[in-house]
Amino acid sequence: MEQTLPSPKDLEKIRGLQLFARTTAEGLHSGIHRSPLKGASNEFKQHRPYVQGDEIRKIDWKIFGRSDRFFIKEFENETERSSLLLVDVSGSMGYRSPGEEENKLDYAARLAATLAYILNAQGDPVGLATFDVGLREMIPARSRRSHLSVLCQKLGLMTPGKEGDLAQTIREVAARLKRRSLIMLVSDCFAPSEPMIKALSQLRIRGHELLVFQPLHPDELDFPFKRGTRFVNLEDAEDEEQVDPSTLRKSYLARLGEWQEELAGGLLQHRIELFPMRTDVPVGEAVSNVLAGRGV
Amino acid sequence: MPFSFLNKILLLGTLAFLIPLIIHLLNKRRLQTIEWGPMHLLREAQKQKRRRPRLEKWLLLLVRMLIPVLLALGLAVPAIKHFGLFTGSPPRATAYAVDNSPSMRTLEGASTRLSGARGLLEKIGGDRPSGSHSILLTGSAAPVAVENDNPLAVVESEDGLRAAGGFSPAEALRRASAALGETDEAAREIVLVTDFQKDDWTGPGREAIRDALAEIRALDPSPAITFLRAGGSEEAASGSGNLALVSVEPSVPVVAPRQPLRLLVNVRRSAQGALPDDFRIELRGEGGALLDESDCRCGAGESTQVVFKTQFEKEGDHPLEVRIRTTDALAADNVRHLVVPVWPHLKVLLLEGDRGQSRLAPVDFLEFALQPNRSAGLQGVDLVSAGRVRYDQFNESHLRDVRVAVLLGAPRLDEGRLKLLTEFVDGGGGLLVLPGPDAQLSWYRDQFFKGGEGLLPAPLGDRERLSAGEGVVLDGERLFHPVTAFFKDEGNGRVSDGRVRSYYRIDETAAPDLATLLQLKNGAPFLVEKLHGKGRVALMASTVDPDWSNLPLQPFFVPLLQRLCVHLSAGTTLPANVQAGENVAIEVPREWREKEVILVDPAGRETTLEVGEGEKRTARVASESGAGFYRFRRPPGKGDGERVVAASLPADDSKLLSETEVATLVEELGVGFAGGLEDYRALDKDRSFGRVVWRWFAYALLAFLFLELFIQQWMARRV
Repeated sequence: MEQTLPSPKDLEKIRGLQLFARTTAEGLHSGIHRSPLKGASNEFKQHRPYVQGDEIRKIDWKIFGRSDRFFIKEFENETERSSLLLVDVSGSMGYRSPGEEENKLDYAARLAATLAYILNAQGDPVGLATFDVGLREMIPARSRRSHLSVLCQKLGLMTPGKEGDLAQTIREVAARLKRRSLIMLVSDCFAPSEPMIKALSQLRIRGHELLVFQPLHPDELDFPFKRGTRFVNLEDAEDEEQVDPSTLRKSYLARLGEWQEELAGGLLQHRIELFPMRTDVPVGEAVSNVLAGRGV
Repeated sequence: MPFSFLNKILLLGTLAFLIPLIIHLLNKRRLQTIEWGPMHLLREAQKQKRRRPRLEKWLLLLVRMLIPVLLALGLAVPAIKHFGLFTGSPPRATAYAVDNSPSMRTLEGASTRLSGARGLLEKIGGDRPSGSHSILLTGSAAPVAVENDNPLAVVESEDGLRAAGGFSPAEALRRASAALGETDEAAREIVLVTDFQKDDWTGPGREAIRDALAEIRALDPSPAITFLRAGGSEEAASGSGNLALVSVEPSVPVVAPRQPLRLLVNVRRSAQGALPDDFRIELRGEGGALLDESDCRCGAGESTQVVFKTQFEKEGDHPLEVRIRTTDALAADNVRHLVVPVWPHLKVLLLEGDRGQSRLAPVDFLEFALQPNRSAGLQGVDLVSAGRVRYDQFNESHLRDVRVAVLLGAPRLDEGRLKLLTEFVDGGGGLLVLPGPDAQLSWYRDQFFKGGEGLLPAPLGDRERLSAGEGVVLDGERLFHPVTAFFKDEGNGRVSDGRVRSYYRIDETAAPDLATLLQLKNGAPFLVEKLHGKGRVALMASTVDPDWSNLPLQPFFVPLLQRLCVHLSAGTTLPANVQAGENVAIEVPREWREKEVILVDPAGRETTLEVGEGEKRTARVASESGAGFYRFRRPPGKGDGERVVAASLPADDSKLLSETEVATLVEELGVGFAGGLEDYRALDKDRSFGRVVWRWFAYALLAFLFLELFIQQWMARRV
């Protein structure tokens, strides 16, 4: 995957994100912490190619000696639950009001960083996957302290991409996740609800636990537009609608409500929890609300 | 084109449909753009509403665009043709232009052509759909709006129609078209009712009609034009035969009190018709008093003459009416009106030159011709009272009360007397100059003619002397001047018997304003005149001497001199007898100091006329009320006095176009023609007229305004 070096602005954003995660998470920490499960297994599971962030000590040097390539020797670990932050970087996450600096993806990054920090602080391995039309990038779960920096760096450099395809992403993620994990999906879920529920239920069937964090912009929730507007699809510039918002608001809000209900209801059937979040609510407050209902 | 507009300029208003369109486009340009995520929600929300609101929006825009269009169309007064296909005949505006020349009074069977036309028009009017308008025009009267089913009710009344002189179809068509321009109906028609007098429809009149029709056809909507024949042809009209008073000619234009006047009455009878050969002619004076009557006889197609003699006791204008007692086809030409001015004695001063060797000098001949009764020692009364004085001895006192001076054989005048004579002419006096053998031609040319500024009408050239017995005769054919036209009838004297042996050449090229009264057969002017100031000066090329000409011995000489003196004495006096339709005018007598005079027309109606300003105070009006007497009086309480002018019909007003000629005429002019009611109905059936439908547009506009309001409300409710 082609990667450009982060710009100074990106670096500052990354550092800010890390600091934000720490301050936010530490503020939340007391009283809601559940000790992470400890233990290790020596039962060999598989070899896999080395990726950035893997511990050097897990490299199978014998294989390196034979093939001159880095392979990691993995063992079955039944007691330690790893988590995966699955962040939607599709076009729709790039929404922001005219004049606003931050978009929904920035909010998602802060949210993901905060969650990662909490899990990392607990010693739980945390991985990160981003997706739009398919899986864009995936960092395996690690529990090392330094891993948080890797995650924050990735989160800080996320940019909105193309059209999101969650079903395809789920298939790819499922193929990559060998252990049962806690998958935290951060997505506005702007896609038809039924196929989305179906895709997420596949993960549940495989034994993964799922939490869906749904950051929504106040504009998307209130539809405050008044004069004639041309709405251009963030994921497809050629797709546009000209509407008179004042005549459409009522039916839009009704349809939004229906859709949210369908989504929440459908997910709940598969014991998947949905946490809608307004992006004008601070991340700390939002996470606190979530943790109050469920510890992470 | 099935549609036309009476007010095309307002059609530009239809462009106002652009206003809502521009507003729509401007609004569209002002759209904000939002990059949006949940397009599926937006689309689903719109799904149910999308088509209908769009449809409604376009419908609303369409309605808004149509509103100004309808308004503009309505204001432009649209007219639909072929309207009758849907709803029957539309209301129609019809202008009936009725020929009111005297021949329309011709009897055909039991009724006049006009009465026949009335019956016809009543039926045509009755056929008109309700709501139609009718306008009646006669030859000269103002258009009158009339009842639709009785368009000629007004015509039969004295007010609506009196026989005027002539009828101008071109003028009638123009006036009818202008009157129709005031109406609302798109269905317009001009019905011209006439008996097709030949004079009205041929010659320059035909060209004028063509021009008028071209103007009318250029209009939009152009009215349909129908010529409707009133009565039948001349053949039909002559069924009962006709007697016409062609003319009544007084022997002298002006008489003195108790001077005998001879009136020559010319009567003509049509070739066809069963009239009795014997009839009676009456001469009536003031108040219809019978002055004289005469039984006469005239066969079919013949002419006859009757002479009446009369005289008047008092000065003033004496109206005379000559009437044939008969019941013929056309009553209008059975009467003629005449005014005879009776003046006090006309004082003529003869300024004589040297008598010469002859026993009878020219002045003697002149004196005899001017006052024949007195000269012959008879009892009769002469209009002229002549005095004589030598040309070099007269002074201002001699000219007092003199109306005409005759300068006879004077070699020249001294400066003082020339000035005196000039003042006399400028003041309205008449001067007759007869240069004799002693005339000093250089003085006549330099002082008397003076390059056109002097009294003499034209410079004298050399004297022509022809050998005795030869001479040159007077031209008896070129008699156009009012003074000499009298001699066209040789019964009044044969001018061509006059033979001149010696005369002065008159250089008419040097005097452009010259009027020639008589000329010699060789073309040389013999008697000429011109206006000078308020008076007139006549010049005879010869003198009254048997050595110079045989004029003094000719029968026409006395009436010629008498008429010439009356003519010269009248200065620029206005005529007392005119043709009907022409202007009647009088010179208001000096003692009438009022600024207004009352005119009583032949119908007995009184009108107040303003007296024109200027040296000559005149009162003038067109003789629109037809033939008869027009009496001018002082306003009530201002004193007595009356001036009268007679208007007579044209002498020849009964030649009609034949059926073939009418057919050619209407084909050439491209107008509809109907000889009767059935003809007209058949013609009318094939016509399609338009109807002004602005009301429909007004209703549609109202409906669209409500529709716009409704759509807007409906759309608002659906949000």
